[in-house]
Amino acid sequence: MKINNKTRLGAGFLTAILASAAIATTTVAHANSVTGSPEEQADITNWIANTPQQVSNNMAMQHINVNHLNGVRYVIQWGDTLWSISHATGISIAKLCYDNNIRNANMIYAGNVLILNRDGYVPDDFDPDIDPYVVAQTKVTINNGPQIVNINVQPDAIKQYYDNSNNSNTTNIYKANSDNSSQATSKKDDSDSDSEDSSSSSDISVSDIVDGLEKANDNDKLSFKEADDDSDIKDADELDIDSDDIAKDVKDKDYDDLLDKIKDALDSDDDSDVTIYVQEDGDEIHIYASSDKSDEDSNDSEDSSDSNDEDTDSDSSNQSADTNDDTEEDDD
Amino acid sequence: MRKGTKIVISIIVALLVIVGGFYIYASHAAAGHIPGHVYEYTSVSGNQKAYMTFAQSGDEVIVTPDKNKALQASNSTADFEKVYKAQAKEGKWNYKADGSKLTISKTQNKQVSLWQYNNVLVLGKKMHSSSFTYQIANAGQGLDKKATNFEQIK
Repeated sequence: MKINNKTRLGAGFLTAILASAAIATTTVAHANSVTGSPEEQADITNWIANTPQQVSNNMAMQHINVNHLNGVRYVIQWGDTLWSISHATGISIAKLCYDNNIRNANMIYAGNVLILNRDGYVPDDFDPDIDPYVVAQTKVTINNGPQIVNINVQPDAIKQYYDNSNNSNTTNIYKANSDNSSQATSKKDDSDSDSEDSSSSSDISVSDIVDGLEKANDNDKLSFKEADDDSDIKDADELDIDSDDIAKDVKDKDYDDLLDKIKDALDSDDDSDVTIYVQEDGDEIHIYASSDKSDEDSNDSEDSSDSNDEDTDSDSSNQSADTNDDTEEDDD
Repeated sequence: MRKGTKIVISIIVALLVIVGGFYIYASHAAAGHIPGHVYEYTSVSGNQKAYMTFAQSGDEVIVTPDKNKALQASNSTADFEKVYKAQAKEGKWNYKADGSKLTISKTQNKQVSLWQYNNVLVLGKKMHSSSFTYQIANAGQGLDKKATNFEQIK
């Protein structure tokens, strides 16, 4: 009888272990349905835009009735775009952005919750600067192997793109947006941490703009500095660039376009070194140019910011496609 | 050396040559097999599909979760261009097959992402890759030693 009891006890114990393992496996599998393993996250299927039908299917799996969308919470899936969500729900892109405080569509993340609300209105002056066709991004950098890789077989179109944009591949940053923004906005306070999905031009510091321009620049004669006070720009001339255009490029982080505007505004016949100063005045950004002679006086005070810029550049180039072979790995 | 031994060695050598030759052929056949065809791609997890219509000439490829759209694009060059242009707002896709590698790129908002499939073996209508190297804009880069499969559906 004692043996039987022991046997029963052992069988029960074994069953409990197996059951708990099965439950744990189920839980992990469910949790991974959005995030997934690094291998799954990097899979190309996650970076193809979902069709509205796929979004509808995803919503059905989350038990969301698209006919009753009054503050329903939807977990953003890989491949989702604001466009596809809008078409699947019938809620306008502007409404989705307004309800979810999205001002930059490049910043929707797989795994984040999107509030779906058909009721309510969007203020007339709400004009999010978005690209609704960008797929959901990742908050965590995807990597489980070598930190830097080299892709040596590249489509001709990409080679031409790099050639035409003159080493612009350094603007490609192969790590998560949230990691990038945490570096770039380290000086900001944390009061807006609950709205990390969005950013606006007012959230971007002058140092970010200077960094962005430095990375976009390929002209040795141009350098970029932050104008701390009016003494920095006393000998500089303000460039004739519309402040709205500057704000738009800054908001989009389209520093290539901003750099083009700066070059257009500069005197193309002037071969001297030019320092571009960026100054923030309230909500407006002003850009000034100073030729080499007038710049020398202020060099001392700007040395530290220069070194910071260089650090950022080298960091960025380490992540770029064309990094040198010494640390690269490839699977041949 | 005995005659029997010589025969065995000859057979082994012949088999090695055949297998080696087939491997070399299969591992360098992607570039010749891909143009103008539609492939069904199965993800690492095995539960996701994507469809890729490769241009008859050039380096453009349509990558979509919509099988019908992929098949429609393969009907003619005009259909391909029509679908490719319609999908450009969601990113432009290009490809390059060279040796045993197949790279697919996505360009959107001046950001380039690349997936290079390594050790691609062409086995009839199927292509098998043992790993892929990726550089995804604003996401990450690395090497995944997970197998993926492509199957020609048209």
